[in-house]
Amino acid sequence: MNNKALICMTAVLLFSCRATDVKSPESAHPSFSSDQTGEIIVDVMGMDEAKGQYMILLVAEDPSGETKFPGSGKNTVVALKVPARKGKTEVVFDEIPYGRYAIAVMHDINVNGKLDKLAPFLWPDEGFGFSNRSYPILPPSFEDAAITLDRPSLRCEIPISYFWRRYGYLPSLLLYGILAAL
Amino acid sequence: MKTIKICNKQVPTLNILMRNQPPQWIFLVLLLSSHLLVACSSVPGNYFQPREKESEIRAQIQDLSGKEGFVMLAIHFRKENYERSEMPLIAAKKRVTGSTMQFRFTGDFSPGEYGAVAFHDEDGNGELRTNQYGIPLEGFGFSRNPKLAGGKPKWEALVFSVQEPIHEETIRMMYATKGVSP
Repeated sequence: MNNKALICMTAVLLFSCRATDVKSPESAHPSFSSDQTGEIIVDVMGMDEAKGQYMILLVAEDPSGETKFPGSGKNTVVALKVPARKGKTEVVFDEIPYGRYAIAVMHDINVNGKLDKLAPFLWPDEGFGFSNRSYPILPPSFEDAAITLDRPSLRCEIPISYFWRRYGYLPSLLLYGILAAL
Repeated sequence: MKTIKICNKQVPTLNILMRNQPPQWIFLVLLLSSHLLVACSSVPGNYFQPREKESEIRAQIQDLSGKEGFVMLAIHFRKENYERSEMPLIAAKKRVTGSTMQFRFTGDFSPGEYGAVAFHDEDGNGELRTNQYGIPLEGFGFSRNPKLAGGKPKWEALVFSVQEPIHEETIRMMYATKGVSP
């Protein structure tokens, strides 16, 4: 059981992890080549109760072309923590230069500043959502989540998915059952 | 009690711990119980409660120097949370684009008392850099611009009350390394 469990866990880790840097002390910001600015209106569709806070991150495109999303702080334009509201929460980012951006939203219900997970590489117990209506099993790449700001106002709707709360912990039981049977 | 033969000697063993393994079902119990614990996670009692009326808080940050890094603003609603620097009402981080920046937040804020703390994170590490004596090496500012008497200002010197539909606050950034303006 031990050897096979190790092999299966590493397979799960490799399959589900994404290479993302965590720390970067660089202060070079992405080159905003456009002088025109517009606003991005984000509609976050969450739970029916006003619980906890949303952590919203707006990431710009890297000038070199390879953007890590959410990545290190190098390409972050705005990071915001706001209390969650019932149903729809509207967040407006104004004076954003034209270009391509991606938005990540995490619903932190117990307000501890991070997304709680049972185990490092499982889905979070709290809510998460990304722009461009990508419903991920895994976090999307920057290209999948990118929206283009080329007008004075852009509206983006982000539904928050609560993976475990929707599927009722059944996938984790199945996963464990498979591992235990070996 | 079973006995097995090792090196021609009879050694007593217990049936359960024959392979030095805990029983399999205990992992399932732990998994389910921790899932239940996380599912019952709720908002802590000292988090923000929405007020009666909707209003807008506009915070203008002035006297920024340099175009690098982020301006981090936190609006606190409770004295204890401000003193412990945890759980603000709103925490926002925006890339610096000039010597003044404006943050606008609309929500169920009035009537209420709030305090704002801002700092200019030049190296992008998310923290205020201080020298060995505790003096910050990056810019910092507080609402109502109190005179600093050593250490973090008191909550009573920062607090502003929001009653009107739009409330404006001006925060002047101070840099210990570049001369503190009165």
